[in-house]
Amino acid sequence: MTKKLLSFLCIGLAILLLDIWFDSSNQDKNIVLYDDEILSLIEIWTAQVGRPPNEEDLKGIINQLVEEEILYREALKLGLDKDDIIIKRRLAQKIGFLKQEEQSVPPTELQLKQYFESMEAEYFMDTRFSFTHLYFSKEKKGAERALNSLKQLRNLDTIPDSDPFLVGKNFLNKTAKQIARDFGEGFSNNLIEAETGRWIGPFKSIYGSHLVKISKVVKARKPNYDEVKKAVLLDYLLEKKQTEMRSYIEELKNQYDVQINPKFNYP
Amino acid sequence: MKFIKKGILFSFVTLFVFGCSNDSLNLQDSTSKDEPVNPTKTEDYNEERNLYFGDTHVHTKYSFDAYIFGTTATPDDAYTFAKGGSIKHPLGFDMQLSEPLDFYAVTDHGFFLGMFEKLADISHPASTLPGADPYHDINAPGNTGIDSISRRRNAFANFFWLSTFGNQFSQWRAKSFKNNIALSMPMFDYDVHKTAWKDIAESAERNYEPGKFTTFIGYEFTTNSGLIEGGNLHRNVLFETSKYPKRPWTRIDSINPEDLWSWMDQLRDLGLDSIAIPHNSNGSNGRMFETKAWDGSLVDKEYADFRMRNEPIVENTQVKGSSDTHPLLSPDDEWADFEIFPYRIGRGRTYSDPNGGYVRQAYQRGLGLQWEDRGNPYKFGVIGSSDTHTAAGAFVESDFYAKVGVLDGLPALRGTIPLSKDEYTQLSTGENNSNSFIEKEQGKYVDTYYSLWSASGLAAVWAEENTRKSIFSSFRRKETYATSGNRIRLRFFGGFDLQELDLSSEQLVKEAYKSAVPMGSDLMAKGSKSPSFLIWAQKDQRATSLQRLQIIKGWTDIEDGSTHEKIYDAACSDGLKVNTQTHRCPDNGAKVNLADCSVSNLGAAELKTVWTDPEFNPNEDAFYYVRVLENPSCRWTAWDAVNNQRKPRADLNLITQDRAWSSPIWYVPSSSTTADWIGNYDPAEDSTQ
Repeated sequence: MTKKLLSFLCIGLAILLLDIWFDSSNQDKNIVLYDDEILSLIEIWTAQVGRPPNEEDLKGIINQLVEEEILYREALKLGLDKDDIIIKRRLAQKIGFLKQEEQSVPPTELQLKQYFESMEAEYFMDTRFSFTHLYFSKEKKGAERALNSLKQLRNLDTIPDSDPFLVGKNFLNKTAKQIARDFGEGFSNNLIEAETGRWIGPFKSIYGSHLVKISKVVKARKPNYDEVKKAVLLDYLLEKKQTEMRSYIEELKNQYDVQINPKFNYP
Repeated sequence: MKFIKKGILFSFVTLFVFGCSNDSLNLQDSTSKDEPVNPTKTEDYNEERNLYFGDTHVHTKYSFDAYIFGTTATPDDAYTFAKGGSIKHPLGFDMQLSEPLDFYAVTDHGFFLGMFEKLADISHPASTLPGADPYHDINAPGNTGIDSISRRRNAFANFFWLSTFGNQFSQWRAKSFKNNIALSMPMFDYDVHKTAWKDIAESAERNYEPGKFTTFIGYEFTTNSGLIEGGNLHRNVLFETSKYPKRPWTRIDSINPEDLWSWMDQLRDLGLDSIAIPHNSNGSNGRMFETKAWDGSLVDKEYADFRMRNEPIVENTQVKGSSDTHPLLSPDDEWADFEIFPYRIGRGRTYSDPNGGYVRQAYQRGLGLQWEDRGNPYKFGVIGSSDTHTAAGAFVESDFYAKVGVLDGLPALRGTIPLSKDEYTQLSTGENNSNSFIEKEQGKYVDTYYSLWSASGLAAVWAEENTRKSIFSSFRRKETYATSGNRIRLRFFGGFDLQELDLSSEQLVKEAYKSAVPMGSDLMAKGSKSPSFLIWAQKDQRATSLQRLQIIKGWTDIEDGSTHEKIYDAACSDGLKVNTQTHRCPDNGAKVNLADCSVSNLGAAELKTVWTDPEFNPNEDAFYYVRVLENPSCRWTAWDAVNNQRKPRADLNLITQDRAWSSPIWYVPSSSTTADWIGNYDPAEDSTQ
């Protein structure tokens, strides 16, 4: 037993010594500059300054690289990378970015469809109305003229005495909200249960009275997957990114034992 | 080790190699989609054009100042807001429009674009750049209360001087950095800059929904007339398509706007059209609309072409005041005193000379230059926009959250209601405090010029459909108008046979397009016939009713080239008639109750008329534009008080008359030099040459 333990320690010691020897001779005090590194530095310099470096410039370039590397290694030796909040955060951020860029496997159609099904409410489409209207300006006794015109329209089908409406006459596939922009809040309530294909009204807006003929109503509905495919893909990717990052962190958290002073008191 | 070193090296290579080929002329595309050759029309395509409202002047966290003011909202957030969503103000409350907008453009300051978020982020290497200290963690949680205001002010002042002098430094260093001077600036990281710019472009692409919502890739070229004078010469640059240069051309490249236009000309040669939209000419100390070029030489036709090709429209109203005209320039205009912001921009309370800083005078100067046969560089249209620095424009008087984030997000910070004890303590103690206070009847107020901010403005365009292409061509042909924040609807046509139009015909607009020209156009003489104009306006359904329609006419005296202006009321509300001697509507008696901001039930929902010039000389060059006036209503300074159960502060401007201004229609006499120099740039024509 003792023998085993001893030989184990010996081998361990040998490995440790070897490691130290290699580390100091091969890495710690050796700086190897490869040709392509220097060449690319020259390239950068040339592009930046507008001419190739002369010999002196080149010395400067290389010297700077060497000095930076040396200082970096010495700083590591002194453990300056430890307990430095900037370095800590930077590394944490870096692994976060790497993790986020990692997932590039495009989702399958099936996955997207399932996602779409599960988020149904998000993609719900409001009721849309297509209609034409006749406008009777309130500056010119609109309410009265509208009523008269409606009677005429129903009885005789004459051309009514209406006014032009500044933003137009025909409206295609507009939601209640869009209709509110031109006719005021609540105007579309008049259209919800209304008959299509014949003149109805008059309905009041802030500008006057309107007779409306609805040509088409598309009821509020769940869209087909194909109609919202693009939005679904974007949402899916965004959410997947977030959940993957989350579960990655949670998974790691399980491997750690976090201790906080139970008597910690926030002043 | 070797691997890491390679990695570092590689990132430097990409950084510098790109930095040195001239990235400002290196185009990339934010979309991978191929533009169809014959794009199909969207559902709402309308030959007679639809009206779209938008804002082309919006700052997000990528602007140095917005970030310093506490804004962390992204371009995506800005577009979410414009589409009707709710986003957070830096002070934590929600901002939401009562009605979504149709188009929106994020235009962050080009210089140091994107840098400040990273300078502040102490986990980012950029935060170790020289000069970054004052911004460290400036928007970290817990740092965004009103007790941070002094720190933010100091940080802003700090950068203001650094950037001004830093710019000078880089000029003598310029030789080795001639393609990208910014690289020579100590507090600059090109990677950060380009990444932010790319995000702006990609966000515009992500949020663009042809037919429904239009975005533009753009930025602000934030320049002035020089270090000492500081006359504001800011422009917003908007690109026509999904293409954009690898980096924006900024004041670090040159503070001369003509260099910006040259760059835009070069991009145009590469196939990317763009326009620059000057704003806050009111703060230019008279430098925006001069009769000289940058180098002091007199402007000529070549300059006029150059300028008009690049600057077809001007933003004449926004949060930092309106630039239509000034009481000193238009002494006979009773409504000239509207939202005047009398200072230079970014220079505290330094007076800005109005002479040369206002749009109406520029139109006149343009006619004068033309009379001298030097072309007209000032034949531009107008739009309004907000210049918000919180990603969300504040357009409505009764719901105004101002401009500069943490600094003015609460009424007490804008000096409209007294400070609470706690607020006073937070603002008056602490390091380097820069706040001053005044004592009034109701208590202690912040002494600030924020009360001059304006709940303004909006850009209105008439376009066939809600697409980039269609709206961009509206800008080019100037079929646009500006409002001081409300959604007043306005049609304006000029022609010679408009008297014959039936104003109540359903075909009115169709006929008008056929027999007349819309706002922004030239109206070529027809014998010696007097032109007439169709003016048609509807009120904003959420705002006060309309009081009157006016024509503002400017003309050159054919004998001596002197220029003049005159205001004509064209239609009155409440059944009133224009007095033919004074050309004014009688007072309609509309009043405002400052106790609760209620208004009298007067005014019109709609006004429509055909107006003929009663004092017309067929040989004189002239311009005509419309001003629509609402009834008086509470200005936001009064609403702030009323909304907080306070009495409005009597020494502030409390009543406003919100309005719309159209782009002009220029009358061109057959004898005019204009007849052979029109000065309107047509890209289609250009490409065939």
